[in-house]
Amino acid sequence: MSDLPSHRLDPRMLRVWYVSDIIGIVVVAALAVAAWLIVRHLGGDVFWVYLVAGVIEAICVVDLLVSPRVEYATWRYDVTPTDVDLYHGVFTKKRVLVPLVRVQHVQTKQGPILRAHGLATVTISTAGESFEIPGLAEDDANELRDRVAELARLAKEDV
Amino acid sequence: MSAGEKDLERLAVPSRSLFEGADTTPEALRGTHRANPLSVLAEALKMASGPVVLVAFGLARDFFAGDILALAKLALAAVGIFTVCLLLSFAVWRARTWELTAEGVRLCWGLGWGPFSRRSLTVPYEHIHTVSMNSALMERLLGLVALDLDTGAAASEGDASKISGLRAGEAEALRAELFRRKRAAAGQVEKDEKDVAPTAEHPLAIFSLEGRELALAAASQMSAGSQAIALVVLLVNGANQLIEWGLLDVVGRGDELMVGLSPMIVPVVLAFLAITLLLGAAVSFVVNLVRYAGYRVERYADRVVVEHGLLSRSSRALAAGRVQYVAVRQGILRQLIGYAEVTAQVVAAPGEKDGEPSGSVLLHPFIRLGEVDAFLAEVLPDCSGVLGHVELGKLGPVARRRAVVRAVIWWPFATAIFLGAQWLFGLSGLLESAGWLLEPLLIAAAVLSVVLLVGLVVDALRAWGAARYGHTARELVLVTGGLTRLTVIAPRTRLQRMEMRASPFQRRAGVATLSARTAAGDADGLELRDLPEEAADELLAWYRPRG
Repeated sequence: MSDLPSHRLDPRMLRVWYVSDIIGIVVVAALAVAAWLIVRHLGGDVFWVYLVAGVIEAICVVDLLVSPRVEYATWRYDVTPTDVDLYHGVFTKKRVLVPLVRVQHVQTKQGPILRAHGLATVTISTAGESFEIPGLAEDDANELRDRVAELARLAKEDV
Repeated sequence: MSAGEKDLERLAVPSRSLFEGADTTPEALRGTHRANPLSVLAEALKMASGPVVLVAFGLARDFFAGDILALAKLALAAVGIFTVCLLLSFAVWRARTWELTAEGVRLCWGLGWGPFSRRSLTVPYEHIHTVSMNSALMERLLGLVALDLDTGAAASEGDASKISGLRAGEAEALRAELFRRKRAAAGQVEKDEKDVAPTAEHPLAIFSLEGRELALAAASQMSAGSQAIALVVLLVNGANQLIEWGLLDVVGRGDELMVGLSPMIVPVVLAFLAITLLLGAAVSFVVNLVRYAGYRVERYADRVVVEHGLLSRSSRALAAGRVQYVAVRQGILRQLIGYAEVTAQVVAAPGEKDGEPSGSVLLHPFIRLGEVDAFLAEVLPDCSGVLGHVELGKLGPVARRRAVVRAVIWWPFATAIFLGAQWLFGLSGLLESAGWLLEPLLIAAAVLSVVLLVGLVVDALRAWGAARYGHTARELVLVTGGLTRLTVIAPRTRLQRMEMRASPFQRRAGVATLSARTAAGDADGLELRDLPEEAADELLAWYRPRG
């Protein structure tokens, strides 16, 4: 694909992804322990719990090792005066083009993990769909949100 | 007052109505209105019919057991239910009003207590996308019509934006008035147009479908399969019900029945299949005939009005400027005879309207492929001058290989899973115990899977051969689909986004998938797989706003 967008995500996003993946692994482990207790209490075969939990944990660990790095290396975005240009994806690489005329609203979002790292997510909504740029530095995100909103206001057209 | 003065005045006093002064609103549409009182009866009958049928089913067993009193009980229950429904629908009718205000259509409803608090909704005229006029069988008998307004709102207004219980003439006048006000609100009214009463408006073009074409249209749109399945479901349910009522006694006689049938099981099953398919074809033909009968499309300056239906009449008026994209659809039969169906996709609440998805409005059910462009030029000029004039690209041989692989890849997996399951759970033991049932089922499944495989491969090859992509200065054109071919014309200004994506396999083969979305919920035909990467790039560059 020719001339990809130029901006990249904040490097701190990599840590955010790692942290949230680890939380996921811990939650799965906790659920597995609970299931193990219940199955043992009911006198069932614990082998199945080991099997299912093991498979899920293995998938989570592989995901942890692969996707944040690939995702970070892939993510590119641009907000030009006319459009929003996104490029991302782990296996399937997606390139999305959203003209600012079509943008209905923009919002920034911060979960606890993102806030701890001083990052924010920008969501750009059109009539029907919305697109996310995860992990921008807070100020960048706010500025981007305001810019997209301003440009969308200037670009006048109706559904 | 000249148009310029009027504009000045509007700027100076924004609170003043656009529609003051030379008010051409028909007398009958001014003020606050309720539905026609007849609709109380219609609503009550509709509401009551469900519970009454349920009670009838409940009492059927007694009746078949020889209890004549069951009929009296049923009559009593029906009267009771109907009275309650009549009271309810009267209350609802009293609460529901509509009014044409300066800002928009104002609809009020809600009984005014508890969860049914009084509500009102104002639909601004300029945001009306489509106005559907429906009349179900019951309403038709009473001469009533319902108008449903659709805006581009993300959340559906559902029944809230419905004006029901109008007299046919009244509905027609109201719709014309709504569109006149929409034009006025958008500032598109020409000076001399103001004085023209809305009823005097003449359609610019009319198309309709009659006689032989209607029959052909209904025949070529047959879906014998789905109707046959519906029929089988109905039969099974019916048999079940008969057994429950004790009219059909088969309990504990399964083996006996099977022994009687087993020597001729294959011919019986085949005959049953043939009969249901034939019946399904006939039913589907009649359904289509009833649906397409009286089809008529009229084009006015700012809107397209589509009418069809024999028993329940429907008429939808769509604002011409709000059509998201046009789809030309050809089933396998229609591909052979070179005819197609033209639909316009609009923004609408999800769900169905008269058996069609509400986001797609049938513009023409049956038109020769070569005449589609001329038809569009008359009905939706925005999307005309494209078909037959635009240069379209084809997919490369790589795409064919990938399509065939996609079509067959599930088969080895499914077979492996089946064999694995057999090996794991010892299906062979099961085979011995219930062989009479499982063996034919297995054979049937194997045969069906091969048939499916062949069908999918044929579909994939046809889809590859037919797939096209291209664009004019203003429209994107995509042709997709094998058994059902879909040609899509989407104006660039209607596309909300365009996406190009490629899996690792696609990247290695140098192809990509292109997909676009409009504001319409439906995105049928707006995605094309495996077009060359450069072509996808070029389309993306075309889509990118300039300046």
